[in-house]
Amino acid sequence: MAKSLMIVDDSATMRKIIMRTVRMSGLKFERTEEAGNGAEALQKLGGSPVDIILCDVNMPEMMGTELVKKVRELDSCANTKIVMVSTESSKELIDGVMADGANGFINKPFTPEKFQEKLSPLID
Amino acid sequence: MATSQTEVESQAVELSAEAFEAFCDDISGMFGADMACEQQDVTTVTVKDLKKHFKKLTAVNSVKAEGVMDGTFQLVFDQGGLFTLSGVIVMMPANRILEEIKRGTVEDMEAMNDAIGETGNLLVGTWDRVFREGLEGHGHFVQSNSFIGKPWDEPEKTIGLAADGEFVFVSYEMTIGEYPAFKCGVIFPRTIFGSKSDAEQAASAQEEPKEKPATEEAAATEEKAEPAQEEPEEKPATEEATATEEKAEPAQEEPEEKPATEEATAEQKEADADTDASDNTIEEKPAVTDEKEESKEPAAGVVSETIQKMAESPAVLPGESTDIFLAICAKDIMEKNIIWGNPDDSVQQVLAKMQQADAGYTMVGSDGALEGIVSKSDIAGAISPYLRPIFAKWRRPLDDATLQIKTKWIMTRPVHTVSPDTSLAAIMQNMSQLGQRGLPVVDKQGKVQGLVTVFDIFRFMLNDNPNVSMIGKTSKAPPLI
Ligand SMILES: [Mg+2]
Repeated sequence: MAKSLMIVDDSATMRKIIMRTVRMSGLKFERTEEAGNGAEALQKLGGSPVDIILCDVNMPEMMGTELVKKVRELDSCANTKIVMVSTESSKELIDGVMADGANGFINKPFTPEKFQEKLSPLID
Repeated sequence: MATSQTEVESQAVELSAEAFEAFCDDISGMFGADMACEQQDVTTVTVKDLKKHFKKLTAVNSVKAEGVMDGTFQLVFDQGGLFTLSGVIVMMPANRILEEIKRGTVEDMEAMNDAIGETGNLLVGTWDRVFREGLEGHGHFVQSNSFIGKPWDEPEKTIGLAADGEFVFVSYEMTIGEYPAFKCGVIFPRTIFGSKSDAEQAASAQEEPKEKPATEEAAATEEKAEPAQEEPEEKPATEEATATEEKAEPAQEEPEEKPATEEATAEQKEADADTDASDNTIEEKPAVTDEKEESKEPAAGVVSETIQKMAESPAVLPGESTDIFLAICAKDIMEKNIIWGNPDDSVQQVLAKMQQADAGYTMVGSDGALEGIVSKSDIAGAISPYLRPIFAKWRRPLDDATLQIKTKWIMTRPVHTVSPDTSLAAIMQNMSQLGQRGLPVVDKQGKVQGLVTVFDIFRFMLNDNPNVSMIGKTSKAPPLI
């Protein structure tokens, strides 16, 4: 089944890097969206939900951790998988965001292999 | 738990090597760039010493540490590191990166602010991971500030470093691919190692002074007073190299001899400002402005030389006269079946098209309007040599990844073109001066009508069977992939 992806990161450079790495990982998405902050992400998700969200943690305005909670309140995103992508890797952060409804955590810096490993179980 | 200050300090110094190495591995893994680093020195320094180490633009990432290391420390990169790293991360063309390393300004840096910020972010991420795994009692590291510029005259204000403080400085030399080595390091204020359980350490007068304007001023004056004697007596080889380089370029001015890459960059900037390809159309007169122009394809040298000799010498082939070089025009010998690609096409897509058509060049653009040109040599230079069938055994995913590079990053632009009525003599002269083996033929409306390659010229001159096409053929060469 055709899958869709949204990349949420406040850095345009990082969004491009993530996009490139996803492509290099061999994972195929029919539709890919980008959002520079939580509000933009929510707005886009309201219109058309996606299968996977790759979400930064540290973002101005709305933290990724907050976005996870908000997405989980959306009925349209009931089947959406959220994978956090962050340089911060403290146990408290990971545990907290997973408890709030995230489905996975990828540390920056990452490799295409890491995306493959963490995302493919969520896609199938 | 590590208790004494010295113990934490030595562990931190040890881990910093591991962290920089891990960072190299991470970036290599992410971007397929070969990266390595080597520890140079562990020294106690003052701000004045740091200034000698980092004379040009410097990137300073301040990192807030919590846990057994408590306080703020700095990760620094010199100008080379700054531009090389962020350039590689945004996949900037190599010639642009080399240019920025030499002459990049704060403005150039601002244009890359986002990339530089993310580079710092990735760096701190790696450090946090390595220290979490290796240092007992590690809380966490968070990037608290990043500064780009010359921080050493007002270190407290710019990067939060006490002007008269004493620091542990661990310096490294880092390399990425073929780019020149650059300097980076970590600056630990001594106070950061003071463990809370260590009463006698806390009591010792190592604390960072908050403000001591008098001494700061003294230091500043002292610095002003010593214009030339800044060089320390013994310095590591790398520093000497940097110092020499700096002496060679007093200001931001252009030196006499510029590297080939600079022209390319200058040209690119021009192209950015003015995309009208017809501006570069060469009419009857040979390209006079292009003595600066460097060949993107060094291999063209021999061929070009031959052509040049042929063009210059009055030697005439059997049955021909020199007039023929003037009488024959581009439109008479050009190949009309040309291949087009999109700037966003991957190298893999372009290569597939070229191999299908057995063509040596792809025009990049749309609706007959030319944005760039890609030769097989451009592609060979961009993709991993391990993609060749004979290296199949060693082929790894990162080699395959190079096939995803976009055409726009490797294409040559602006494109030198000729008009349909440019004479063969002018074409040959231009080819030899530009070091280019193929020139697109563009009409007055800016539409591409065809392509003239050295093979078309050979075919014409040798009176070969005109039905046999030799356009840019490289069939004798091993396949690229
Ligand atoms: Mg961020």
